[in-house]
Amino acid sequence: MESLGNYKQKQHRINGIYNMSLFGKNIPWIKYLFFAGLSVFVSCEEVIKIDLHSAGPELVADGIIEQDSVGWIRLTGTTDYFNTGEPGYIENATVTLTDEKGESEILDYKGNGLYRGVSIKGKPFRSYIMQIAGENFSYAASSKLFPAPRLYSVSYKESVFQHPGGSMKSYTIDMKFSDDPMAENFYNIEFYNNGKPGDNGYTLIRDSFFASGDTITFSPRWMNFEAGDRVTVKVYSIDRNTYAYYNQLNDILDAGMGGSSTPYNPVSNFGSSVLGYFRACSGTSFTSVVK
Amino acid sequence: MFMTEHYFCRNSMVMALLFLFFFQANGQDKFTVSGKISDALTGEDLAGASVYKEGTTTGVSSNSYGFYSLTLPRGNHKLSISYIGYAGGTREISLDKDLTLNIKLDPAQTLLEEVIVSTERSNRNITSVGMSIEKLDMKQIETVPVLFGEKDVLKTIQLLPGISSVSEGSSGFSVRGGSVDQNLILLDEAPVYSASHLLGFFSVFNSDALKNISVFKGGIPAQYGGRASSVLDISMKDGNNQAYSVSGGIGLISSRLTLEGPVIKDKMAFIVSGRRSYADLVGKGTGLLDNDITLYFYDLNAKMNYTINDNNRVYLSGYFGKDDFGFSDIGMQWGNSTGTLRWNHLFSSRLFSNSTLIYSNYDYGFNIGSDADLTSGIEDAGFKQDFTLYKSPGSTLRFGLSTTFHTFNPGKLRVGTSKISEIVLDQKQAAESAIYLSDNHKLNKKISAEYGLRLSMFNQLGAGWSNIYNQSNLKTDSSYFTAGKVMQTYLRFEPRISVNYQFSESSSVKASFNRMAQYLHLLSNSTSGQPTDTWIPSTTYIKPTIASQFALGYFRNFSGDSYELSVESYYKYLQNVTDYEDGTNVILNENIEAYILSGKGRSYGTELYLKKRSGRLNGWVSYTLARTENKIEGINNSGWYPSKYDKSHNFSVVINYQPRKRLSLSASWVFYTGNAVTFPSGKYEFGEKLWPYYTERNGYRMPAYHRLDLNVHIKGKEKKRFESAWDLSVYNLYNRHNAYTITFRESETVTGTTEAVRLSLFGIVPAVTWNFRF
Repeated sequence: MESLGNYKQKQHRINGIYNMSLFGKNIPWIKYLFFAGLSVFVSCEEVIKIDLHSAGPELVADGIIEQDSVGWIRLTGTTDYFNTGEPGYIENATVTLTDEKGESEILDYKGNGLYRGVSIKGKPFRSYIMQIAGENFSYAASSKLFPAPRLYSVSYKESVFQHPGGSMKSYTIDMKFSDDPMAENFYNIEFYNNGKPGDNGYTLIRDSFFASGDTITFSPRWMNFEAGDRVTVKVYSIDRNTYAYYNQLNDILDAGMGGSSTPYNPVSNFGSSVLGYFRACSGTSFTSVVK
Repeated sequence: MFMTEHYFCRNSMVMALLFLFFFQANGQDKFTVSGKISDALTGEDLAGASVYKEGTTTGVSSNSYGFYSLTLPRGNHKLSISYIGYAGGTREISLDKDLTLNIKLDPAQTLLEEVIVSTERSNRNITSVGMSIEKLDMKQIETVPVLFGEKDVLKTIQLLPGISSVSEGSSGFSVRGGSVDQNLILLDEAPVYSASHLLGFFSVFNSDALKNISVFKGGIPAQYGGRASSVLDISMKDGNNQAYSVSGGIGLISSRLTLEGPVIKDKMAFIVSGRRSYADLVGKGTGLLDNDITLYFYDLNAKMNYTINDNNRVYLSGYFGKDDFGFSDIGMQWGNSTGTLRWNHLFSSRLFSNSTLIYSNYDYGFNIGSDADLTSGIEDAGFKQDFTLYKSPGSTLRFGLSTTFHTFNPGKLRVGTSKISEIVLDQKQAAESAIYLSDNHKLNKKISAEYGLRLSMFNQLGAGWSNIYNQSNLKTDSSYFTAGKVMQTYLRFEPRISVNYQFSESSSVKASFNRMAQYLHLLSNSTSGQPTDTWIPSTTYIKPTIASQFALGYFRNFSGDSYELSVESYYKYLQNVTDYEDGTNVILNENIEAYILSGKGRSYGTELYLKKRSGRLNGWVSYTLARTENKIEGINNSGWYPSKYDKSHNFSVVINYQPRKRLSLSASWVFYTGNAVTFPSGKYEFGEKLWPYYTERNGYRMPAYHRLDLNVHIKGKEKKRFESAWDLSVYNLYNRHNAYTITFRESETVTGTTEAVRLSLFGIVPAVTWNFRF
């Protein structure tokens, strides 16, 4: 499932300066507003001790191939929720990366569950298959790599929301990047503020949210920065299935809160017995200081 | 529309046959005394007042319009009239023809007038057939302490057995394990689709404008239908037809003002009651809220009634409410409006008729300045015809029909200043109709029964698309239906029966069975019910929910009816309970019906209730032990799992104490098991972030909830016609941090570790309200 229903049947595109970016990522405004309202009544938020069951361990596969880079995957096991140690590493697996041209390699084990390739590097418009096999498991997942967009500009403006009594002004970001109008594209945008991730989840958008044309103007008003912040923006092209998977991760990020669905495990492209995902993607990034 | 018209014709024929049948059975040596029972000071109809032939068990109680009808043999009779809280009386009548006797009762001027707890005949709970019914009068609601001192019917009923709160401070409630959308909430017979203000913390019902409240948890009479779990029937005050009066209150977050009076004394009266919250102003003043935040609601109740003559009376009533909530140019607005036009007509002294035209509308809007807006809602227009035939003192028949035309707007999203449609989910239409017949029959001195049948029909109507989906939820085919064309029809038989076996004047055992069909479904991802929730009709893929409930109860009164005890057990079985596939987004999802999973549910429990009805010290203790589970293909490995409304223990105590005439103290304490929730049973790392790993659905419990509230009510000295009172209340007296949510996240302080975070809403909240009347 993805946000905002099925767009396949809705090919309307709109003109105008403003666009669907306002409603990206599961309509965050409604949730935002709900929690902002709730905060009026909140008396306290505290970290508590709670007993949780012990399940698993289940196989976790975190695999990726980026443009012009070799592929890698980390195979681990789930741990107890409050476990502070390392997870169990899967050390004797055979991992094979194959591209749609039939080229294939076995990834080298590098320790700590990490397997890395040497020869195959990500190329645009190519599909990749990652196979993992161990003593009692064998799974495969595929993903297609799309070229990275060109980031034209990143600028800041004063936010319409300012913290009451805050000494620093809040700023929001506007960015422009290229989009192939002839194809249906999906993007994951990551923000780093002074080197730290600016958002817990994924900021996901697809070009059908936006006015037609070859440029996307995106203004995530829920991202706030202060003057002097060093902000890095990364825009990744991802395929449709990766987009759907990240969307599910976003869903469980605030699971249990009002307005969210009952928690569940996002469905991996390795199958329902595996947690995690294998994705092919390509990104471009830009760093600037908020003024 | 063809089907609906056809249906109407069939209805009319059935009605004609019923009439023929009823009018045959009528003896000639008996006559009927009938009329209206009302409050002598205000002219308000008194519903549920008893009229009995003195020294016998022959009698009736007045209906919701204060009308009664009693057929007795020719001769002289002494009638005894009673209504708790009023000075009862007797009337001597001589029956040699049908007689109209309108009765006015004076409110009892006793020391304890503020703490009268029941409006019923002293042992009505024992003698009546009805079970699983809770009736509240407004006096009772006034004394129960509540959050921010806002008197609230929906919060007060949550203190009764079998009814529980769905979350902290919420006006949403669950009845015998049912979900929020399984409650039919009627305000002067019009359905209210979203009964909450301010994100669910306040109900839309202004208690100043209300007269009676009845909650049916089971044994639901045949005249009600359309929801699986319960009926909350609320009637508004009619307006004082004797004298003008102004009343109101000034509270911490809202103020109220009510105006009522006669237009024509004894014949025509009006009432207008308004309420406006200023939570945002208070919040800004105290620095809790940012200056560009909007957060308020207002509502208006208005009603007018006109007694044309003894046989005809009309009522026009309406409700209009709105919430506005936002930051600078981003905001949400939502609100209900309802309207009811009723005509009471007496065809004879024994056949009472009420014809009703109903309108109800709920709409929700979200906007970002002029950039974009999202709207959704539901609109109802309906007609209802109800008859009550007082066939004999031992048999009262109720029959009627209703039809409602629903228009659903599942969601429209418009973007840009030019307002070009971006996503417009197709509007949906449906007609919901029903005919019913029931007989409340006293078989002998010990056994009485109410049995009936409701036949309901639901037609999803064009214009619209009917889609076919494959296993992967992809649309494979669609067919278009033109306006008025029937797309899908459901027909359901809903039998209802209640039996009372009376051991003595003070004890009885009752049993009931009822089946309810629910054709409307609420798309919601939250437990408590939020303004964003959207109503949709049953379609080919979404089948109506059917609830069948058995209940058995023992009822006993002690010490001259001043204590009442009841024990009730129930078992409820539900078909077509719905949930969503994992990750379904319910907002603006055009193909939502493909993502809805359906299964079965069961709910069972026992409720204990002990109530002291009068005296300086009165109140009640209620305890419910219950279980609610669902079994839905595709969820929890298709096995049974606890519903999110499952609460094992639910306990509440309400105590009122009046040490002096002008002072009363009240306290309430609640304790309940936390809701069933899904927590992670492990975690894993993906994309440099830690994610929770979930196993069983609703396999965990929120911590137990408990809270103590207090209220002190001080009446001012009476000056001529002016009365005033102060209410000082404290919510959550011992400042318990009850969990509103528990969430799991990566620690912000220690990287690579995870933690559980509890969010608590209300700490100790004191409030003060000043009320007046003149």
